[in-house]
Amino acid sequence: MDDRRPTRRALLAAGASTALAALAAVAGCGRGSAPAAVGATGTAGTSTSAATSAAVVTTTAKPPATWAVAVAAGERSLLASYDAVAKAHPSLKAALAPLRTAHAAHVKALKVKGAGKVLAGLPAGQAEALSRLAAAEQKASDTTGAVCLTCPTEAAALLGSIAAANASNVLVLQSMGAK
Amino acid sequence: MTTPVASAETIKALQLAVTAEHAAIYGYSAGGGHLSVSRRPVAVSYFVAHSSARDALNAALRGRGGKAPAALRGYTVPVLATGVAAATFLATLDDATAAAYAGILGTTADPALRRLAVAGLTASATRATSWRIAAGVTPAVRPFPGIAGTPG
Repeated sequence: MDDRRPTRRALLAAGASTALAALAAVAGCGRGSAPAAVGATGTAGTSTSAATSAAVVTTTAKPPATWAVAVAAGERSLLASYDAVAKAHPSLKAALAPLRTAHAAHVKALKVKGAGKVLAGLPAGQAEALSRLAAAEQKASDTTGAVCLTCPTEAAALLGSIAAANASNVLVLQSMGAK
Repeated sequence: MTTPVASAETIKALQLAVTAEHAAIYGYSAGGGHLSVSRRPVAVSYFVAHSSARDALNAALRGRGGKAPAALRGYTVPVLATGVAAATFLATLDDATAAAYAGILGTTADPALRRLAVAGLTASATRATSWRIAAGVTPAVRPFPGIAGTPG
């Protein structure tokens, strides 16, 4: 019995390999369905002029999946808001950097184009701004966790991981003084 | 009424998660006592959470005709000379359960299992983060808990 004892390393590898495959599948899927990715779609961009290829892409490309749009909007908003807080409070920039990095990675993985909107009513005070970010992280975690219940199987690990990352960010913000 | 259907892949993923929870439960028992006194109540509450999660996974497995894996008699625990070392070790246990829950998500559309796995993944990731914060490990967060950047 003891010789088939699983190591933590083996468990991690098993979990990570499945989930990484899912991540790759989602990334590939998102690339084809992003409407703004005119130059990036090999079929449209190479053989025709820019003007006609743009028309081809906008009429034939499928819109991004609903699950990706909903999650990406929250992630882009968080990304823009971290930038705004770091700009207003340069002393927080280093501590916030890993959280910002996470959102940038989430946005990239979701492959949905668009600009991020800074959170409405982001307070000027440092502690208040951190609390506002924490509330937004929790909300994003809840939203993403809910979307994860019904999204396609190939996207479920990615969305679950994003929900977990957002919830983890809340703890860091609290350790910095967020309420 | 009806028994929920689960693929062999899903059953296997659930069993891996139970195995990870067994290791976490053992590790919390063995490592928790090495934490600084002020952190022990948190470790106890996390231990209880891991035990409940294991029970929920076992119930989900049995409900789908799967066999619940038994715990081993012992698991390897590193030498934990300091509270910081203990907190860092507990973080690795939660990183491992996070990965196991992410592994379930990629196999099933069953909403009950998705719910269980998202909750398990989120709870594991936040516990791992709290231990890294306690241990002063930076960064305390990972962009994709359970998927990439887990220590191996």
